[in-house]
Amino acid sequence: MNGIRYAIRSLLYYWKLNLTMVLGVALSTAILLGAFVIGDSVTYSLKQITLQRLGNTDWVITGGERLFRAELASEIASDELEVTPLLFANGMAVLDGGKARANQLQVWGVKTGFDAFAGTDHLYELESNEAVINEQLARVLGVEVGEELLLRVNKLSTFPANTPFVSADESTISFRVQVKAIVSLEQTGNFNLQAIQSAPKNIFVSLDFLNQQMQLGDLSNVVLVNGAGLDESALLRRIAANWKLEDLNLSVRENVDLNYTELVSDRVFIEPSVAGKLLKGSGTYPVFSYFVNQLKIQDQATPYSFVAGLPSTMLNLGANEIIINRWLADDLSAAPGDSIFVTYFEVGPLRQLVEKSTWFQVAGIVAMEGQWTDVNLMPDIPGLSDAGHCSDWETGVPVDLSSIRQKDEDYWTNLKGTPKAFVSLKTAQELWGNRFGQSTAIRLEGLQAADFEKQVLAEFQPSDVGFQVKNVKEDGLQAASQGVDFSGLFIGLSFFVLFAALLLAYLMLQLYLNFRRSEIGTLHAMGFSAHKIRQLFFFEAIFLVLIGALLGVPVGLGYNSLIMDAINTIWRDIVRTSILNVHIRPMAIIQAILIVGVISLVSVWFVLRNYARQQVVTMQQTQLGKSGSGKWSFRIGMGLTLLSVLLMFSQGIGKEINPSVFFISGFGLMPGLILLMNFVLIRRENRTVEKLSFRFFSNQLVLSDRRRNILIVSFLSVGIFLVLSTGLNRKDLTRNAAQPSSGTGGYTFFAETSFPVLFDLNSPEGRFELGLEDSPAEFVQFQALAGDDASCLNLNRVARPRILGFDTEKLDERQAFTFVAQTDELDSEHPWLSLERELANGQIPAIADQTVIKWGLGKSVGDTLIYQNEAGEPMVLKLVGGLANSVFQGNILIADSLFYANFPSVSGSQVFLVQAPESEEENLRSAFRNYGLEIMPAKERLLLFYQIENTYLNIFLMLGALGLLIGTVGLGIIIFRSIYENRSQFALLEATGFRKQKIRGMTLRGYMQLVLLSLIIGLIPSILSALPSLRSSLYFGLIYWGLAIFVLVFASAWLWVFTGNRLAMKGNLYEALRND
Amino acid sequence: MNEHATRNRLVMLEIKTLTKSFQSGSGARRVILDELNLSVKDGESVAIVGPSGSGKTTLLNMLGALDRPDSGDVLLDGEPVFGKDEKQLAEFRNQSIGFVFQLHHLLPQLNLMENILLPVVAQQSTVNAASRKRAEGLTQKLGIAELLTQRPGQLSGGECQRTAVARALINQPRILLADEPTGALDQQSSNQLADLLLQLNREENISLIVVTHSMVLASKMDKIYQLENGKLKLAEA
Repeated sequence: MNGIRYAIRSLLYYWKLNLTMVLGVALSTAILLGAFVIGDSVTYSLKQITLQRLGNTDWVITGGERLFRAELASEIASDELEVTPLLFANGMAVLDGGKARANQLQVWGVKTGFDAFAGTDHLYELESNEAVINEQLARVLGVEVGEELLLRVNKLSTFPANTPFVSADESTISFRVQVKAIVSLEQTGNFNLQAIQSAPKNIFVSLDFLNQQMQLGDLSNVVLVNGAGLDESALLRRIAANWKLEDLNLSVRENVDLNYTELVSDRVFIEPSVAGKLLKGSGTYPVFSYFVNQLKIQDQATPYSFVAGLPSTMLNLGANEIIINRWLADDLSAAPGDSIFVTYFEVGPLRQLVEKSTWFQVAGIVAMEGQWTDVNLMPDIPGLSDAGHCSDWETGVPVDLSSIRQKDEDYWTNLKGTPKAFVSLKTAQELWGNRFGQSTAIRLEGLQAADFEKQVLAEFQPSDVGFQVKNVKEDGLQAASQGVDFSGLFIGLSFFVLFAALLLAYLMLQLYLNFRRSEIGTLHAMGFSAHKIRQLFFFEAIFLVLIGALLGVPVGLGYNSLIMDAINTIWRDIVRTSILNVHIRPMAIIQAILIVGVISLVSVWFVLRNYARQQVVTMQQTQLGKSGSGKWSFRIGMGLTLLSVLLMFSQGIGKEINPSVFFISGFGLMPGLILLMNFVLIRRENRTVEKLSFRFFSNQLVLSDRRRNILIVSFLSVGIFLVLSTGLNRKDLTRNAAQPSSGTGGYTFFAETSFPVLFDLNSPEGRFELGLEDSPAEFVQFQALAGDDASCLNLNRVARPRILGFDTEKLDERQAFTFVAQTDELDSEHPWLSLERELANGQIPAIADQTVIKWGLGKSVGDTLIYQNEAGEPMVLKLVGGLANSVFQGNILIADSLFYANFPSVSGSQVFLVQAPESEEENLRSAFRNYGLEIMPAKERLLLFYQIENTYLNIFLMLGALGLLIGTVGLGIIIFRSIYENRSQFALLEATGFRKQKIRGMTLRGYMQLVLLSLIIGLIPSILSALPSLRSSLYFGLIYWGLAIFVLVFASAWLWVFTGNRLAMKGNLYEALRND
Repeated sequence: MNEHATRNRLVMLEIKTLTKSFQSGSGARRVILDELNLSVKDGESVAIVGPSGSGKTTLLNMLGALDRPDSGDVLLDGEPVFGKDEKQLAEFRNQSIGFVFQLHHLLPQLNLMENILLPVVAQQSTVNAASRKRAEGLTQKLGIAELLTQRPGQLSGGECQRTAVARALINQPRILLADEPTGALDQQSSNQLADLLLQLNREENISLIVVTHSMVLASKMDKIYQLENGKLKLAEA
């Protein structure tokens, strides 16, 4: 006979009792393990999705907004490096003349080398008009293999689309393709460089074909790299070792006649970062030519000419001085000293044209020879410089062709855009310098093209000109592993179930020990020390907990499987993908067993401490202590109740119901009601009655143990309150949606286009372009720098969300949106205008939704985000303000001025807030039909984000209800114990003539009254706390959920109280009398 | 009653001014034992009788160190019992005291032999051969040797109670405390048990203190004490 043997014997003998304890432990293990596995599964699935969306891609090289030679990819390849170029553009597809449309497509121009990255065999070997689409796109369009699509794609070019004077016509191209294959995610059909779990809409065409359609030659903007043992600097070195000027959109040419070599850019203007470095070198100098509308002296005018700014080494002029050529002098009948007015367009970021004028004094007239007839001073402006005639000009500014005379045509024919006038470089830069540059060429004396080219290439690192190398695989896997913590989330959502299961095990342990009280007393009498008794029972508990925990493993895996199915279907909103797979880590199983085991055994130890210390004699005594008068229960209870009601009526109901106040009221009302209940029970305990009745005896028998009854009342009322008040409390984000302070900013629509809109939609010219002249719509336009989706729709942790640049005055005028957090840098009166000023240390102020800052980025207001601008310099954004839930969720907002300063090449806007009547939606869809418009009411966009929170609350409601149901099992146990301990009393009733049925009915009724009161005490405050939500038309239906849960819990409570009642009164009650 | 037979024996157990009171539901304190004094000699058998609620069981619990008095002490061989710490008290109960309750309180999950040997493992981890041999000897004396592999649920009340006696004696205690040991038995079983207890008292030289309502049982003891109004009075023969 030893302790282990004793434990095993006891376990086997009391197996029925043990089973319920094991059940409680098993349930706890199951819930915890289920939550762990959910978390692991989501993380694992996100990682799998990352690997599937990247295929065999390890690294990605991009040029920012820059296009470079596709050949560069093969030049940097080696035996260890597999490389393939891609051309990426946004697109939209139309099927059968509009039967179906798909916007926001990712269009990939690929070469056959992509097969190696996709892990396929010749699948991506595409003929001219063949396309491979992914399943997601096929599903959206309802298209099959062999069918034709009309594809519209953003036309890429080596120059930014909004370069001044470049035409905005043909900003998109369209062509037909035939679907060759529909690829699955295993075939890298979901190829995506953004870290997001939802499937993109992909279409793959031949790179050559796409280049041809875009009239680009052989260019790309993305290079995929596969190879081990690489790092960023090694790849950058390879690029630097192999790149050519073409890759920087630069070229060098020599002018033999004038003996100089010059560097020009495809981008028309030399980028400031490029010019800055090159002009540091000796011998180089910039020139700057600009297209002006008119040169006029008195009533003589010459239209549409180039004026060149030259450095002081070539031309020494004052700020207001100008030199004109002989042709112009003759045309204007000008003489030195005359005042000449120059009119020109200043072109804004959205092609806003402001016509400006300035005057100069003619300082001299030069002959039409030598450097004054240098046609190279005219920059290469597509559509302008390559036109054969003035009438063929395709400029991005309005040209009055009627003002062009024959002599102007003749000038163009002979001299093209040779400048007719010259000013100082400084003057030219001051007047016409723009975000794209302050020079149109950089020159040096002599014919040194080859050397200059080498010098230029040596001057720059790829990162200086916007090339970026990213380890997308590593970054993606990290983003996946640091994504939303579903383990923690589901532990939180399931906490009530977990608590109920542990409580069940605890109650069972109490019951178990209670049944064996006399055994404990006997052991004590035999000389077992308290420590020894604890040890004996602890051995038993170890077995029970171990068995329970092990049993909980398959139950937990089954529970997890159910939850995963639900997440992949009815709760799909929280993950936005249906490809989550179960992933079980052995460590998760061990952790769950250990945690539940430790909690259970610690609880067992504490319970045993109390029992083992009690002497047998005190266990024989049942003393019900006196409860006092209950006056404090009454005072505090009544106080809390009145306060809650007063609070609700005084603060909660006014012009609009204040949800927070209602929640606090409900929270205060519940303990108030519990305390009042306690007072009632105390009064019942202490009262004396003259008229004794069956009801009196009945209540005395059932309700005599006030402490136990208050435990029942508290558990049930608190339980139902917590579950319902949390689960029913929803935010109606659409209430007050028309208010500027709301999450919509008071705007009607939120829209995004697949292609940038290059115009100012609030200007007559912009509205004309889209046929919106008669539309009442007003727009706030946002320029977008592509980034990861940082909204709650993305489960991955992102580091670089999309940046939106916008005109801050527009939001400031209407005091749009509400800030819930801010730093000192944000002006409380004009918060939006605070974004215009760079901060002291060069940081750029930025604003985002507070939920994105906290949960999406894992940061706080005051923290920074680091990006790389086009010049390859680090750009630090400081989060100076956090918005209340808004339509901007997932984006970072900065002022457009600072946006353009860092990303001048980003042209047009793709995100819009629209103020218009709701009826205008169709008109807008029609106007933007070629831009791939996705438009929705702004309040619907808010609801889209809130859907996720709603789904979590639904899950909480369901799991909470499950916890309550488990709690009713615990209630049954308490009732069982209570009745069993008082069996002798009920036996006496039977002995005095009561039928057993009547006795059972009496106890059942008594306890169910208690249960009903408890549930009502919990229900009323919970409904009150959630009243603002329930009043909303969106969530009114939830009240039925609440009532359904109430009824379900009541029914379950009835079942378990009935069962406990029945079991406790099983057998002959008079046996209890015999042993008493 | 056989007081003369014990006259020359040494006092083994003494109670000195033992007082115990309890708080009733109304809050008032009720004195159950009022400065009680008692001495029991080595090998002596003592019966304590009294009306219900007089505190007999309370007194027995004090003697067995299952409960603590408000004041006074119990001395074993002149050494105060209540000066010990909990570990020492457990050892005291295990080694010096044997308890027999009205209800046998055998553990239903153990067979008779295991029930008997249970006190042995209170203070040591395993049962040694000597203990096993003693158990066998006791079961022979108590007439339950054939039933050792059976469980309490399979036996009669008398057989269970005899097993409880064997359990109480397994560690060769100095004193056997019995609280209404025959209360749950029929007449024949009661008589048998009473005789057994006295036989063991003589043969094992164990002091026996019995709380009982049965005057038949009480009359067989060396002394009878009457407990009334918190005081012990030696009954006349």
